[in-house]
Amino acid sequence: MTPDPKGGFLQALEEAARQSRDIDELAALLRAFPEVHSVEVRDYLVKTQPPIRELAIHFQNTRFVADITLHPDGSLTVRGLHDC
Amino acid sequence: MAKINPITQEELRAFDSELLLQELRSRAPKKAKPITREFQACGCDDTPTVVAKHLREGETAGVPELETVPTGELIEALRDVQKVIYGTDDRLDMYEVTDAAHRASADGVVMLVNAGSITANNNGTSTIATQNFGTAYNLCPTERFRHQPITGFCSGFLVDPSLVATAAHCVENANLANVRFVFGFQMRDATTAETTVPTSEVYRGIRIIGRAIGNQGTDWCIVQLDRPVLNHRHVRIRRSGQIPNNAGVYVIGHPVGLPKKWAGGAVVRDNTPARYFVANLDTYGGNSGSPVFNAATHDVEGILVRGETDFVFNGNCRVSNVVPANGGRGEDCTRVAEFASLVPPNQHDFIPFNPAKAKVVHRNGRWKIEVDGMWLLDFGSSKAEAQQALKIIKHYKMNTQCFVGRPGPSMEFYLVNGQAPSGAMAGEDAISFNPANVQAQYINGRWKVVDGNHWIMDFDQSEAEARQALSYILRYGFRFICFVGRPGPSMTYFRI
Repeated sequence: MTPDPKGGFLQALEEAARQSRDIDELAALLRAFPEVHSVEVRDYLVKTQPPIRELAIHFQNTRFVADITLHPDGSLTVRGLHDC
Repeated sequence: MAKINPITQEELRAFDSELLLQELRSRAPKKAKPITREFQACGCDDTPTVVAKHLREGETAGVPELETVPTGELIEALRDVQKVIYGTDDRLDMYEVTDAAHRASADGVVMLVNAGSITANNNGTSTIATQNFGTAYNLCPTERFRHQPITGFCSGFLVDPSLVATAAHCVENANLANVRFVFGFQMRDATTAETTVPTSEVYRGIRIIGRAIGNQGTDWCIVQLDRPVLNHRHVRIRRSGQIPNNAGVYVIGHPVGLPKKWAGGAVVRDNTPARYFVANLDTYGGNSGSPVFNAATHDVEGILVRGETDFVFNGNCRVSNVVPANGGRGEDCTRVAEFASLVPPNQHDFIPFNPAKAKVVHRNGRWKIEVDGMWLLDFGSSKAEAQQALKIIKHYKMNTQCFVGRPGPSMEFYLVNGQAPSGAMAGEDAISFNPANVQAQYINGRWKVVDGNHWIMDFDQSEAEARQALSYILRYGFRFICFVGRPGPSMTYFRI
């Protein structure tokens, strides 16, 4: 299955981000998605304020990078999905 | 009864910095799992994968001798024993920076703020909405700057009076209209932040001149502002080549959206990536887009874009992520030579003269305008054109002749005491244009400066001259291009 970044997967990602207490927990949640083959947490922060952590999400036939905003209160939101 | 700390301050500072770090890390509530440094995880980038040992890998145990030492004391001791601390605070507020060259470097640094965070006060000033840093981040009492305000989401810097450079992930066409570029958000003294600034210090972006992100780690954006910035310096950038290995660098920007900060004491740690270099700069979120200066030349070498984790929990509050000077992953800085072709060189070719001494002369069969024996203009056989040009010089009181691209200049203009000639003159051959629409474009194999569909000047293959000409048009606010003797004019000038 190739997920539509504008559709169901993005919504699921946003919900997972809302439920997660940190980026590693979000990555673990995503790894449990049946269509997700692997998730890599990039080791760098994109240094906007608030900063962004990138997740490289690999599916069977495609892959995306999710930009996850790390808010000061500890919450996570999805800034966007893009091709790598 | 309070526990007595059995370790004196002197003994604490005798500990190895790695042991102090180990104890600090053991107090964090959660350990990050080892991760690899893999910039091109998706395989769309041909940069070789670099695998680095994660800083916290295997470091879970505390140091028994240090377990009773308060965390604040540990952090202070660590700062004292490390010669260079990367990941905490080499930062200084601008009022603390006394070096003239560094202060000059800081003058062109700007903060990027969401438009909704700025309120015009209808008295020539605007107020920036802020949060308290310490409250917003639940900072521990040891953290510096915790009482200061934060706002803004990125940093940037002037590379030309009308152009700001920043990181591509800070600005794109979709959010450009919602971005404001603000000068002057800094601490006036230890306790007072300048959260109200003259409205004249707030700029909008009207156009993205160039932008690149992703290819081998590059990340830059050049934005044209709504008007030229005439009261702040633009920086000088490296135009080719690479910063030397191990060169000293410093960064100026708005870490965490704080008032402007300087941070030095850093070096280039990895100079091998083609499109960026890595340095141990003390930067945080909000530093994206900050200029990274060569400490020896004060030229900008890079744009800060990515780096190490900013904060870690220490119990129930956050502290800066302290790593050794040679630890951590380092901070990535996009090389500015990547976009140097978009930035005018600004090597001005201006010749002052006294208009009162200008006169028409006939030398060796040619009509010329001379000043003190030096000729300004040559009109060949046309005495009428020479006389008309002299009338124009005296009418506007022009006293500086300016060129782009000599010999055989592609642009010629005149200034009056450093300003554009203004007004009009009867019988003038003038064509108006809208400076807000003027751009440098490559059309049919030639560089031109155009106003919409109409080209104003042609620069053949010289992008640098086209961009320099555009810079002058914007800087001086020219609205008319004027001629003497078209076609093949013997004199061209611009005015407002």
